[in-house]
Amino acid sequence: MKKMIFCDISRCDNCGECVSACAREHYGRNSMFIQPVSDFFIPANCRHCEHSPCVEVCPTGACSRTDSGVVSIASMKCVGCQLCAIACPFGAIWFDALDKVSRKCDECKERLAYDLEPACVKACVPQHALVYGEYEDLLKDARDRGIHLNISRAGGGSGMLIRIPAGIDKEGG
Amino acid sequence: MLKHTISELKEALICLEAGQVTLPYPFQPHPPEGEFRGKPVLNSRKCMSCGACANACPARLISIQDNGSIRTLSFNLRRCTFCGLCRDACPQEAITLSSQFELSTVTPEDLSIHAEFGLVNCRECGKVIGTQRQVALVKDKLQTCEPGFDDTGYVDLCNSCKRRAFIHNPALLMEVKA
Repeated sequence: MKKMIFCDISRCDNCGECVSACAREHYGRNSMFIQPVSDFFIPANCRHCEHSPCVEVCPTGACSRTDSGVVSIASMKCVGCQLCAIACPFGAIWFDALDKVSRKCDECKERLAYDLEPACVKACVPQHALVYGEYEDLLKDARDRGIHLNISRAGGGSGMLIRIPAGIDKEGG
Repeated sequence: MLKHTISELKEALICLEAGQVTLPYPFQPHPPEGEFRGKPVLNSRKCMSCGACANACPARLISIQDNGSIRTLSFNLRRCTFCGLCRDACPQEAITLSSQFELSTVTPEDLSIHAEFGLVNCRECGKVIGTQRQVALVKDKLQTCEPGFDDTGYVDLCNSCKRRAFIHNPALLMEVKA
């Protein structure tokens, strides 16, 4: 199975290192966001869903999924119709008004080619809210620590592992 | 003198033999041939007002303005260079280039196209997320694709509300059996 990001929401303290690391990696256009929810902060990036809504709705084929499981937008093919941004269930796609294309997390393709972890994970050093690894390893680690995990997904496929802390506002949001 | 007249007559005969070589164009209509790129025509039934044409237009003559709950798409064809990039960019194939090339007019309205579309606001915070047609198209595509997305209730939320709301949606967040 493909490597994925495990996100521990209870550990995120909104320091913003992942956001600036993402911006550094992508020429100032970060596709990593931090969303405050009650007392917690949700690092909101692309889940790279197995059956991605963004890939399904893209009329030009700019939004595509590679064999290694990374969903990314080819800016040269994108016409900026924003259907993918509407279809994304996690709010991970944003419209770059300067270049007139939609942008999203590409799991740092260039770094992955050199066997490095994504820039946001690398930057999340003191908190370890983001961890990158094999699905089974992450699951085993969580089991050893005795924590419950959720998987963030769309359309029946796998996405990103998430730990939802108990105190998070389940109703209001 | 006589020699000169004879050669002129010969030339006249040659011209008569060739028949008519010019087109009767201004008196009869002359349809252009093949892939002629004339005045752009918008099919407002297909258009979803996504703005792809406005992004592609090199002359920046297509404008999109949100006013209240209405999005207005307008073409100012006085600057049009008939490049056809709007047609190529349109994901709905709503723009076609007609064969009309006689564009001189005394009423400037003839050289503009206006279309109005209803907007959808985020149901939590009220931020504009797109036009009604864009949202309907996304819902339609997601329900008919394989495997289908049963729950497309998140579609009418804005990005920051989606980032908050997914934790309440069992279709998007599944507990992992350890």
